[in-house]
Amino acid sequence: MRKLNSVLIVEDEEDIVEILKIAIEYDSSIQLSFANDGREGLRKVNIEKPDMILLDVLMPGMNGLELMTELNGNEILKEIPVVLLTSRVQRTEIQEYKKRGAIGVIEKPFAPLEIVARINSLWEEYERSKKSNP
Amino acid sequence: MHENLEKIKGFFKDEQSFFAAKQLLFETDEKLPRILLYRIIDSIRDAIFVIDKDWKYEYLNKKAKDSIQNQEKDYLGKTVWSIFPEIKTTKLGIAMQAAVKEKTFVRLDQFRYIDGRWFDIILISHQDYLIVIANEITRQKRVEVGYDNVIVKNRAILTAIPDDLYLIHDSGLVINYKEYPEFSDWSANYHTEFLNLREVFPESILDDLEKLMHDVVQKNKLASMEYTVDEYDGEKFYEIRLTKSGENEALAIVRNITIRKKAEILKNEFISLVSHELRTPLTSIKGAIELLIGGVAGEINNQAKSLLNICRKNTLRLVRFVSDLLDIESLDSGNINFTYQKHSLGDLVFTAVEGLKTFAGQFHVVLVYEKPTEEINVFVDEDRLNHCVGNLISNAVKYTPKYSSVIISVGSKDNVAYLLVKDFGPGIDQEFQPRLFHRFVQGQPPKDKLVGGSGLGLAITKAFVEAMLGKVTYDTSEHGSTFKIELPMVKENSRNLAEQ
Repeated sequence: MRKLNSVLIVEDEEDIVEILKIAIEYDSSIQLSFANDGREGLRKVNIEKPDMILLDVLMPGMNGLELMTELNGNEILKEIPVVLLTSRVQRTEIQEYKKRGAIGVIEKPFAPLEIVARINSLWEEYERSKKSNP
Repeated sequence: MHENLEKIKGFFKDEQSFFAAKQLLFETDEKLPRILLYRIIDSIRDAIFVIDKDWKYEYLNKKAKDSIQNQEKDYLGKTVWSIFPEIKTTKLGIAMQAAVKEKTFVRLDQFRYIDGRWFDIILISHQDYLIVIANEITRQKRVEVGYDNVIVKNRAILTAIPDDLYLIHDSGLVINYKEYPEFSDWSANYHTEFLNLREVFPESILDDLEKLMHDVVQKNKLASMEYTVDEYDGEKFYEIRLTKSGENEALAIVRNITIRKKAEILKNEFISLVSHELRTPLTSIKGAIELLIGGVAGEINNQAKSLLNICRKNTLRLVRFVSDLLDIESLDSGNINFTYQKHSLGDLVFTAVEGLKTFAGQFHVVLVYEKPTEEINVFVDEDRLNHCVGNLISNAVKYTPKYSSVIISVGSKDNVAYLLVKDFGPGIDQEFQPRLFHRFVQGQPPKDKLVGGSGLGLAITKAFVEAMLGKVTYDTSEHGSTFKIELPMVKENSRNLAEQ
């Protein structure tokens, strides 16, 4: 099974980006890159082709869901797993996000010390499902 | 003569006495001795006063004497005007003079101020005499006046009420009750404008309204519904209340609730916005603090750690408050969905208790969980029920004394699953109990504890449990309180409660 090597964080709140950066770099050797809105995110996905995208839902400009729609329209990019970051707690929304292709939803406020374990387990689950269902 | 006789037929007690009187009259032909005449009119049920051409009382029949308490000597031989000088210019006085002058028959209602009685008075002027026939109608008059009064007052009330009122008949006919408050009969009221349901209410609600109407008329219960109408100056909200008001009809009170509805929408939007705006900075604060406590930025000493823990605890409190606010908003706006699944209540509560042991430890409280002896399944939304169980347990932890326990148990009785959370606290203040499940209220905290909380916990718990078809009750005394959540139990063979 492939290890999770690179993650693109698309989030407009600088402070949250900083916390995610510190937490992930502290606990892992995952390569991080950052974008602060959907449009920049789309550009970076295209160039970097990260293993995973950690994507905020509510952002000015192109928001997380719009970015997902863009990714889903691209044969290559739609293969990149997306984990959504959201402060909305309604479970119907979580189901809706999963239907749109998100492999997981992390609710804000999140526990930063658990974030690495969380994205790793989502990654492993995703890798496993890919293998059994290529 | 014959014509006159027929006219006075109604004044006799009954047909028989009329015929007797008629007989007497015919026996004596036109020249009727006065004494005989008086005998006849004595038998009449009305009071009769005979007044001569000089306005003097000449004769009073029995009933007339009764009406003046047999003080006839004060009347006989005296003129009307000397006894009642004031009536000359009244309606009665003028009518009497007119009757005499024009030799006519006059009928009028007269109110007697001295004793508040009403009389139906007939004045018959005949040759040299004026005959005054008085029939007391006080009772009818009171009913009439009362009725008129009620109508006038009803109209006043109806005019003052800002709501619209309609009477709706089963057949779909409608009348505007504010315009026709006297309306009583659907079959024959020619002064009423009948409307049709669809002239009064929007097309989109007619089906629902007819169903509601049917319910109200058949089951005799009060029912209401809300609807919106797009009007030229924007969307309006209305509430219609229906109550049975007669055979096959209901009274509908239609109230414009636009202002209230808009305020509610604004409030919910505001809460939603504020909550989301608070969540983002809270995410940063909480995240940064937890990284520091976790030693991500290097080792920190114990004092710094304990200070950071204070920050963390209070941030969590804010996070919880914001979540509670969002839950309340979702409940209010109806924008909340439950995901129902069959769960073992015992397992679910066990997980919740395990998760709260650390929290209870901070308060030096032990959580004791008494497992059920059998499998008890409920059909619930796991997260919401967890939330409720968590609320009850954390409340109990806060109120039970230090170094004591909170006892949690699960059981079932008569197909109802229940969960009990028992504390050994001081009990709930009698005065506070009626408001226990209201929003933003909290009981007195125990002396040695800082309780904290949003004051929304029990309100949310109650709303959630009721949404899952259960109920929350409690029992309290100075030795402690026990909260109980009851939920319908799922029988082993029933697959899906939501389908029922």
